[in-house]
Amino acid sequence: MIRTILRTSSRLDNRWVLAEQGECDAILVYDGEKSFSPFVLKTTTELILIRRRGDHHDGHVFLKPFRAEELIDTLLNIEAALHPRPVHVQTAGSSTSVNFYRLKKWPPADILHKHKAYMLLAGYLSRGAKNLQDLVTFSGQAEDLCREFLQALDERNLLHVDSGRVTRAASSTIPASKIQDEKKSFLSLLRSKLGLSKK
Amino acid sequence: MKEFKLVFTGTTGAGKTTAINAISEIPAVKTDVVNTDVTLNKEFTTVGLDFGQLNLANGDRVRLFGTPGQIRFDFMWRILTRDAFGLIILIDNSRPDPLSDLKLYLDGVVKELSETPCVIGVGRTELHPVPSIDDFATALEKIGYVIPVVPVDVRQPTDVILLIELLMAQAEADL
Repeated sequence: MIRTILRTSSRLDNRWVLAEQGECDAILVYDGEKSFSPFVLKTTTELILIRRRGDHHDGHVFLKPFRAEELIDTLLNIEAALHPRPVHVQTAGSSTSVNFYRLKKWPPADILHKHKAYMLLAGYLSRGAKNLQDLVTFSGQAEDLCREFLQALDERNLLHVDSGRVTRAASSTIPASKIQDEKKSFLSLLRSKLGLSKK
Repeated sequence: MKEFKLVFTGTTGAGKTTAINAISEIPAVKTDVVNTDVTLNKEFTTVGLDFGQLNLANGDRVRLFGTPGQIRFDFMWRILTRDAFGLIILIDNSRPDPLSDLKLYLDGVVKELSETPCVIGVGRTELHPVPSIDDFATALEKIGYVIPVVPVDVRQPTDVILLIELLMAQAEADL
């Protein structure tokens, strides 16, 4: 089951693989790890405990009955903490630039009703500038869908568009703080509680 | 164990108590009294605050607070909203001037709005479609806010969850 989740999740994008060895149920290896041993706990080793829903626990858990989206959320949280990846913003010498978008006003109903994901995408854009890749990462939606949404907003002149690459590139390389990790964990748990999952 | 706070505010009769009841995992604690305001079509109204709770899988809790709607309790809106994870403003579209109602509640928490995710749920839009949701968005734009505004029926848990989902999207965008 875990192998299937790792292989099919577009959000994980094959960055994790299952290693079938060791004294635990499963060892999941991130692609940034070039070597690993099931018998050596490294600083980058994270334990994910299997627990029943409702049982008290601390740390990372995979709750029974299992839900794929919860494991994916957990792995993405671990990834973000251990291997913070800078947002890809091209340098001044690049041939193309990255635009950042923010809403001028909350979009009209006729746009939001075109797709059920549009309302949440608008929610992300209502709190400051985001680029296309940010939207894809936050929402878990396909890039084409996010692009179509931005185009629909742009056609109605509902977007501020900024290039802002220098400041965004600098800030995005700062590793996630403990507070950010806690907030991510909280949002993931609340999403699970409410029966929500990202696509 | 950590505790997070989610605040429901808005006009009297907009459904704050109902919204909390729709999703709370504990019987909501109410401070309702007999309504003596003849302009309100309801038997009871909240004079203190409502309280509900969601229990997360790791033992953390989300406390759900509903503020009293009356303006004389506006000091409580600010106190409760401080350090909240999110703020839900519920507006009753059957009232005489819903857009002024919204402005009143936004003014009441103006300092908190810059840091606290906020979403506006407009109720009773089926029988009272004016002002429209787009009218709310335009009114918000005029006073410098871009805040999600959606029609809701707070008796439906899915509608309340959508409001929270929009708060979570904003919180994620802030990370």
